[in-house]
Amino acid sequence: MQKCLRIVWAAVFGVVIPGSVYGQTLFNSPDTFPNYSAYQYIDECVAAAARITSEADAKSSVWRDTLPLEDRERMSDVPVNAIRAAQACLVRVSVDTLSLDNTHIWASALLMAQRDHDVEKLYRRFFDSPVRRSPEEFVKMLNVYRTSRPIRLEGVERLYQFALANVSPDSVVRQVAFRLIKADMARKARNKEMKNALLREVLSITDTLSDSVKSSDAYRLVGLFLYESVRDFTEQEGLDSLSISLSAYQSYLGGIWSRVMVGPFPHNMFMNNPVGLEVPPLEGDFWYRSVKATQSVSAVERYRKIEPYSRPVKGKINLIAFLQGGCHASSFMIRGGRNNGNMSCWRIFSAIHRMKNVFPDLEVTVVSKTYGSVGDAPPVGPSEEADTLAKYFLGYHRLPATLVVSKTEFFRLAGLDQRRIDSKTANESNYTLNNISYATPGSILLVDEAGRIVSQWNINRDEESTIRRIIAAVFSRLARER
Amino acid sequence: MTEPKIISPWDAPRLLTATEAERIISETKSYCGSDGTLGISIVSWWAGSQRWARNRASMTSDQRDIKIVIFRKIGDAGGHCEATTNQIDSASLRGVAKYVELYARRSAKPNGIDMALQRPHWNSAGAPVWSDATFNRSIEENGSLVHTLTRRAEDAGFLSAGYIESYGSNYIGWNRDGWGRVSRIGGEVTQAQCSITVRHPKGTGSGWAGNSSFDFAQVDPAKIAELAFEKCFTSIDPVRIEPGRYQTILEPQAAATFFQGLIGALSRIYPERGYPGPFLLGMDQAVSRFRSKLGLKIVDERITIQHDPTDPIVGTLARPGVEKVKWVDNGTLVTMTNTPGHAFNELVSQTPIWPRDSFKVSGGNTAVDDMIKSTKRGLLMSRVSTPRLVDSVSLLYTGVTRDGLWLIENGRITKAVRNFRWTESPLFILNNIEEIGVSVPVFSPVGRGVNASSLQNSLVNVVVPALKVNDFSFTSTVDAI
Amino acid sequence: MIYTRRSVLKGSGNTILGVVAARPAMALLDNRWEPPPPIQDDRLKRLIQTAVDAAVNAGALYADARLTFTQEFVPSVTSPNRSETMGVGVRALVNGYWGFASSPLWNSAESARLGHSAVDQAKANGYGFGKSRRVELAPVLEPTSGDWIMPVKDDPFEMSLEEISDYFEGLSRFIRRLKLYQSSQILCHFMRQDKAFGSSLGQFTTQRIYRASGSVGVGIRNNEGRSTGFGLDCLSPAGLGFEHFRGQPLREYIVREHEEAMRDLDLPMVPSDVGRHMVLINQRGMGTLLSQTIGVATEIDRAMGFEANAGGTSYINAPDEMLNTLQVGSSQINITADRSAHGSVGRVRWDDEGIEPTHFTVVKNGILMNMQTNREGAGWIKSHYGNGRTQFSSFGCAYAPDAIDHPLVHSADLTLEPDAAVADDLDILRTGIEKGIELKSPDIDMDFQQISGLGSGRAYELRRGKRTAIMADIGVLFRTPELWKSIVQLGGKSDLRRFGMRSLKGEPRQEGYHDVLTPSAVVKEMTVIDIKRKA
Repeated sequence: MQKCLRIVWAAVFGVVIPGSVYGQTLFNSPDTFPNYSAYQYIDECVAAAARITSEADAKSSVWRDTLPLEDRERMSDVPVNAIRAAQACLVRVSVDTLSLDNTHIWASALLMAQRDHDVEKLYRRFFDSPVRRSPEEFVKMLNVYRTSRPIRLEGVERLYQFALANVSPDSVVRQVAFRLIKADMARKARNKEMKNALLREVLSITDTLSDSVKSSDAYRLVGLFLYESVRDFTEQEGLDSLSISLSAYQSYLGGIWSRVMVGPFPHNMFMNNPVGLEVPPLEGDFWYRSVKATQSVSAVERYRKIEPYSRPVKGKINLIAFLQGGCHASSFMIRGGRNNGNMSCWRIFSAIHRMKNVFPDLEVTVVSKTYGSVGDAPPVGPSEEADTLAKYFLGYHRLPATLVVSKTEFFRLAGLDQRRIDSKTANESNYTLNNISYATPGSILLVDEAGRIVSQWNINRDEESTIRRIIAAVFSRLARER
Repeated sequence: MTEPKIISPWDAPRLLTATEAERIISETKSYCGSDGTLGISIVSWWAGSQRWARNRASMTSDQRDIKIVIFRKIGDAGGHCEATTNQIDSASLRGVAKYVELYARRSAKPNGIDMALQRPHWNSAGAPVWSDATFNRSIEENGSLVHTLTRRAEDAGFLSAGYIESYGSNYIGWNRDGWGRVSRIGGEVTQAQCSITVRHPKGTGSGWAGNSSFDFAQVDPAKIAELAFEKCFTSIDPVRIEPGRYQTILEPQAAATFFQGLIGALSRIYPERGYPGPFLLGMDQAVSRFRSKLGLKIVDERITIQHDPTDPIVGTLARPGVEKVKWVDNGTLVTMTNTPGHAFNELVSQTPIWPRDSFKVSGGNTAVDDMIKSTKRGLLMSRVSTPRLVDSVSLLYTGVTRDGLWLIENGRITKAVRNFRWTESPLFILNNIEEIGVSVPVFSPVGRGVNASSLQNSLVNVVVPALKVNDFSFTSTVDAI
Repeated sequence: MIYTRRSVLKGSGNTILGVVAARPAMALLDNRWEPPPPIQDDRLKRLIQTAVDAAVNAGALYADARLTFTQEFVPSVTSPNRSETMGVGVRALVNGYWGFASSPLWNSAESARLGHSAVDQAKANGYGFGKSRRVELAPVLEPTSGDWIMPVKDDPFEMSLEEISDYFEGLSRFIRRLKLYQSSQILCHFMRQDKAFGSSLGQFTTQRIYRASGSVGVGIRNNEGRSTGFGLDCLSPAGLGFEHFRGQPLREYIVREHEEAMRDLDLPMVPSDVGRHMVLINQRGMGTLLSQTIGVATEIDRAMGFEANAGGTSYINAPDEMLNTLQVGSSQINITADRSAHGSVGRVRWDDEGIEPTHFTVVKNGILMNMQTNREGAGWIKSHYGNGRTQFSSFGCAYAPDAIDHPLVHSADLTLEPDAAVADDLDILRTGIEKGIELKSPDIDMDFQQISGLGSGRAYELRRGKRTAIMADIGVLFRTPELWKSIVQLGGKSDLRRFGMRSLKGEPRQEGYHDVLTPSAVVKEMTVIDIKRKA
């Protein structure tokens, strides 16, 4: 009977019986804003300002072909909203009563609120305190100024003076180190005058040092950093030498080395600098070349398959970019796109575009290899994978380059394991010079017309302008010679 | 906005119609942006159940609910937002969509994806695990059944408690990824379950039996009632014997717990990254890689463990990555679970092997009665509870026996025994097998899925044999009966 | 035309369905949509009345209905997770049998359908039975009407997401500065539930309850590679708003726990000292023990076998005979229950049968005095009442997570009364132990009658009142009656700590929450084992 009744109910399904509906889930969010002045802890204020800043940064779109040369995100000012939040949040905070245990944390929060004078007061309290604090805390305090937006060089200066006053005159290495750190900050803050003045100071100190001091372990690291700083400091001198000849450039570098360090100038010791080494021809199983085209053509029309030929091209200036690995096969770099830090593939792509625009005669070669698959795509054979890489580098990113793809030999672990173990490609082996591999993912080589390495770097935005000046010097020499 | 529709109050359909589900998806989509990832999961479920205790029904229920979960993520970096409602009118859908849109957009970062490299396109209708016999059971039929199931216990002066449920659900998981490609899973499922506990009114004996299946016809409540009664009847006034190692017959329900412990530890990532665990073989210096025990014999060669998602008996619905798999083949570890990232990076394979709780163990042909006959001195174990992992390297568990533990002497059950705490590893058990019984489905009822994926994951079915093993470790006695 | 379910499901060519019916489980729509009105809205009372009337008209001797609007929230600026769900559930009693029907739609027609359906469910139990079932519900002495809102300081659902997020990020920054910091995880969850209850007895109540819970876990590692971790147990579920976090000195607690964890790193590890030992158990451990042993065992449905096929039964298996006589613990054991303490997670003004919970004694001087009851459960032990002892009534322990589920007896908030004669806290109790073991917040596994148990987790070797080593792989075995009789010392009043507990019971499983307020305790002659040792 009950069952029958159910069927009857089902049959009358559709009968209209009015009723009142009282329920809907509307997800009404409260129309409230954070009450920053009620925040209890400075950490919360820092969190709020960081959140607002991060949201603002995320909204500033910078696209692949318009990436700036400089690290704009880091240099740009803190958004006004973040400053206001920090100010409201810290309104009740008095530097007179703050604990000195985490001075740098409080200082960074106060800087966000643009309370620079309070940071000074706080730091003064810190230095006046009879409690002995760790050197790490001092470095952190220094970093607060260095990483603030904008960088507060005046603050750095004050800390620096304090540090020098408290370092024994005998601690020459430390004296040098402090100046170098400050010079680096000045460089980042685009204060060339300050940077150069400091480096001059450093060099004059260094010139007085005995060989035994320069041989000490403490000096060695400082010296390497100094070598690089002096290169930067005397950049024009270097470029002038490079525009004369590669050997003049090598002499210039050797000269800096012998001024700041002891012992022979190792050809490739510092920063893997392989200047002057001759590189072998690239090898590859699949070759492609970009085709100049308007934007209207499809990706596959922007390149063509070619026969292997000798690269780097003798008689021309070459840029060789090793973009295997991170830039495509393990696809996180692709997924990460521009948000993936300095090593992002997109930054390399943009740099290549810009360099080619400035130096149309630059021969660009992108070197890659097969992994069995590209991005998230299903596994494919080597030939198909190489085609996809060409489509990606030359078609989609329109790199004005020749693409060389090596078929990677591999074996799979026996039995059910089946993990793929890749062998080194010929390029990876051949570009290992003096036991240092220059064919690592993201490595870029500038090679002169004789096939010798002029410079090697892993590109980041800070360096791109320097690299451009080096390329210009090489081209100017070539032009003069011709 | 969809105008409210008016329908009969008297017997609304218990589940969402396909038409209405499509309407929800399309309407929700219209409230969200066309960029980024949008996931819409709809689970509509109904459960009719009867619960009884002390030989009388204590509650009969008709429950139904809908869970609509909206997931939104814009760009590959940044955050995401998820919100759930159980209302399907336009205003509610707009409200939930507005919420996820607001917060997903707020934490979004520009999309880094710059090339439509293909990714697997997941579409799966799912294998039907549906039974009209389950869904259309009337409450009157169940009411009558409960009467039958309790009769024997009541007549004997015992107390029966139990639960019968018919569950039905349909679900859709619709997803549009960052590339704009749409995938969907969906299906309709039923599950019937029945479990019964019969106890002596003085608490001196207890028996339990249960079964679950998508098909009510396969649950066989009458047999369950009979078994529960028999177990209770024969377990009255248990005697206390010394803890120690006993040759033990594990009935399928007890054996299932140990197989589950083994199945849950089958991830290949941990051993291949060198983390200590039951399946780490060690470092292979020749290739500088940690090796797992894949390909090695890990248990008795009579044991094969597999899962076929299209088999309604172990009916997890098919979906990509949840395909037919053999974990252990004649004692050899032949497959381990794998994440997409590990599969891609290590194997250049796009096919992850997802873990799943359903499985089927190859059986033998020894009846439990025959196992008893061939036992000189040992124990018969009905069921275990509160298993706790105490050592992840040796997979050592501890727990207690319940609802029947009997002493076997010279080929026959001689007395009921007080429950024990046991401390034992499935790896030890499965390497000390004396005899294997016929594989049968055991009780593994479905959960209430909160979204399409979790619903699929909750459809657990386990088919295992009884086992007779040597030297099973009982560490102390337990007072509960 | 007869519609089978299959045709409905497939939506195949059914014109009626296409026009009007594509809305199952949602019925009877009016011409006005709106968000859930305040729970006190009169129209909701009518909605409940409709359900109750429908059930009574269909033959119910008693009926009640509940509406719930549940909001849940996991706050995070980058990945917030929020849920809003509604439910209506109707319960009907016909010839001693209960029927229940529920759905997500607040609507008068749906209410009527559920009222009818609940009666159908109840009647089905009599079908072919010929069996009677006697139910005596404890009386509702004065049918209550009223509205109540759990008092909270900061309603997280009215706060800005950013403010909550900044709070947790700030806390995270604080934690990341801790010495030897290795990893951390902060979790939180908020719930706000509006519920209305009405019955055929004329009761009608509405309430808003809150639940806040969370956890903070921190891992540290020293230079030798030895690692340990700690968590905060003060964030267990509570009947509070955001002040559950902001209102507690969490940073102080973190610093304290961190210092303890740092000390742990310097302690040697020793194997489990198998044997019988004096064991000091902290407040959290005692709370878990109370909840898992006497707490569960005194739930009346559990004791009477109504949970026999689910979680199990109880060693207190004949309440009628055991009440006022059974010695469940030593004479210093006093356990009380109620659901009214501010901040307790079990707090309600009325339970899910419209009963205002009362404060009652579960154990007095070691003797079992009362069971935790709902209206039906009180009826099972009616003989216990009267004789000037207690009035025949429910203690108000009926609870269901929402209206989709029917109410069961869930544990009330329990208090293990401290030793009023002392001012001892955990630290003082420790100093009094010459040789023993300290268990810190152990996990407890009980058998299915809450009688035999195993405790495991962090343990220290105690020598001359101090922690001298960490004891590895320790387990303690106990029997509930002996455990409560072996307590030699309880902490004093200042030692009391409150913890929210989550429990599962029923078929299908439903979760319940209750508090335990407990001091730490010293237990003599506990059986200590090596948990990894096989027979």
